[in-house]
Amino acid sequence: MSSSIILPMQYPIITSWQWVANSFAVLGNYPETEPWIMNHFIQLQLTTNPGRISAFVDFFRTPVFEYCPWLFHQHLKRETVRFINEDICAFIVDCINLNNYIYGVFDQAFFIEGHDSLPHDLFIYGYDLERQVFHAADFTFTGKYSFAEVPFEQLEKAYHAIEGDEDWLFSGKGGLSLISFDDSLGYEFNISNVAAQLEGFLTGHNCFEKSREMTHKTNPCVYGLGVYDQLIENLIKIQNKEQGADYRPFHVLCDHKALMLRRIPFLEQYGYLKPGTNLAERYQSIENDAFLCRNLLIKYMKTEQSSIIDKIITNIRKIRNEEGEQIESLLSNLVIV
Amino acid sequence: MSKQDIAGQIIQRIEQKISASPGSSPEDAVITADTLLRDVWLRLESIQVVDLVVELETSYGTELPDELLGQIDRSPLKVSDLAAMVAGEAV
Repeated sequence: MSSSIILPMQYPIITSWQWVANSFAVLGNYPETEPWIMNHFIQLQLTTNPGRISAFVDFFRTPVFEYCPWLFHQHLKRETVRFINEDICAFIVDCINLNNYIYGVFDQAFFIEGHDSLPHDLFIYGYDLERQVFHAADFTFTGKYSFAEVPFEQLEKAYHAIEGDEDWLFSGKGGLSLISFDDSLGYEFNISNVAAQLEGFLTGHNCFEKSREMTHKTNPCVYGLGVYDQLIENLIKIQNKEQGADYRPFHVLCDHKALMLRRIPFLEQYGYLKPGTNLAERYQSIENDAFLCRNLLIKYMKTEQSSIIDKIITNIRKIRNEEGEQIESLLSNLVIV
Repeated sequence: MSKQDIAGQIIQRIEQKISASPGSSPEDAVITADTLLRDVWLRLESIQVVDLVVELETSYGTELPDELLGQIDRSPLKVSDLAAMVAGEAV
């Protein structure tokens, strides 16, 4: 048995949330997955989050581990894991030897000095037996998505410290997921599906509504351009001190624009978009505005200058109008055969 | 305070931030007045860029343009231009 293994992992092109970042960190190693990525992550959703710091903005929650054609997903209850091997570190090492990434909730207070209990999902992608460490990824180590080493001893404590509702992954089912990459599978790009998602973005309608049971249960949501209207309402509440400020929704907006900017040349390259549009240039400007909104909100969080919120609202209105126009233009230039 | 003095202080602040970033090398922290701001921003986390702008605004009692917080990938602005902005000169 090898004394160390690191499964393929690269810094993801977008991070957004940990389930997005982890998926992209794996899929980024395999160029053949690009058509699937370009066919998804188009719709934005904002989930109302009563009682929490802010609304929750994400790409439409395509359950990547379950539905990405190349990923083989095995989900085990904690009881099953214990039945297979009571030593959680030995179990994880065995799983990695079988080319599985491991995803589950751990109490990350055991990895981060001076932190109170912090049940958070961790993605493990390697180990080193000599140094007795796992290689893992998450946002908790540095505040941004990053890779770190976690000692076996700490990981064992972090795993066993999770109890009851703290094991919240997969709509509260909890347990550990084993994810491996199977290169024998494939995917056929579906341009009609892209068009349906773009139309849904324009009209604020979720085109996946009819298959709602295939995704996670959520609080009520708004979609597409409707997300911007709701973000403006939330910003007014932040300005009036009725709600705390949170830059994460704006980080997701930046990632959404970055992916749209990647999608436009992809569509052109494969003949799904008529050549000669200036969509990429226009989307670059939208991406810049999203980026500015995020950084202005961070500036507001440091200074609490009310005028900054006014600037963000102005920029969001600009993004909403500009993106509406560009998506209409994109739809009218798609080549659907 | 002269623009050169301000540039020197800005460079010091930037170098401190870069050195504090995990994974940064000593070469990353070498900044001059002629270094392009887009190259400086690349070596900093977004939060550090915002921190720097807020620190400069607070320390020098000035307001810097929002464009510094957007994407400046194609901007010709240099550290010396930032010093001029802080000094209240037109750039």
